[in-house]
Amino acid sequence: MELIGWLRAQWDRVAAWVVIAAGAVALLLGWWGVSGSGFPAQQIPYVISGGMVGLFLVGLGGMLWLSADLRDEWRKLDELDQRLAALADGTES
Amino acid sequence: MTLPWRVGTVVSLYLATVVGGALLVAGWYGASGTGDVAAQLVWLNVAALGLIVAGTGNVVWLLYGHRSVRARQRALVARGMELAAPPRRPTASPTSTTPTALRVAIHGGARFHRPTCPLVVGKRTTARIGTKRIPCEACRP
Repeated sequence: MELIGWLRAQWDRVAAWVVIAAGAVALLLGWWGVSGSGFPAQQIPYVISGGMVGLFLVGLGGMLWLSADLRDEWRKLDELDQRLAALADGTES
Repeated sequence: MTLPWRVGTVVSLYLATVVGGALLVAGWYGASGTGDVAAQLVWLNVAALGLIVAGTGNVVWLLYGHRSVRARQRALVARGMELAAPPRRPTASPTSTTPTALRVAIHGGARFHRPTCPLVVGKRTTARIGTKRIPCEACRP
């Protein structure tokens, strides 16, 4: 249950790692495909499906990870905002 | 709970990611369907365009979020400083002449001060502060 709660709270970081891992696998498969052939006509589809899609997925994962950081920071600012509002009202010393 | 992004930014990110991903798939599909290298290079460019579209969407998303967080931090710091500042002194007491008598200025100076302000103590001052001078940031008259 704790794991499910953690996964739910950190879904964006979990998704980031999953997407980055998928991107790394795509890059490896692309390299494997390209290195297995000497014909450019056979290599170019691997460059696209392996190399470019891999880069796309790694970038997407990085974006998800940094978004999670920004969201955490925003949440802390929410708390600060509430505490300042309470201070201004005189309900918190 | 709020987020540092607006609905329009979320829609832009989704659009850029979906369009970029679709261009990548189209590029791969087109390139793998032909054996002509010249035609494949065209599809390779399509895929590269998809990568650029998706990357631009992601960068815009992150920059927007970063800017929102920084703007909110600055606003909160300003509000905190305002709350932490000492309360303003009461205005002139009944024995003093006028409120403006509590303020002095140096000849040719752009600011007016309290007479006890360390920036004017020991200097020749005048009580005629006029209307064009701005209050000193140190003593906050």
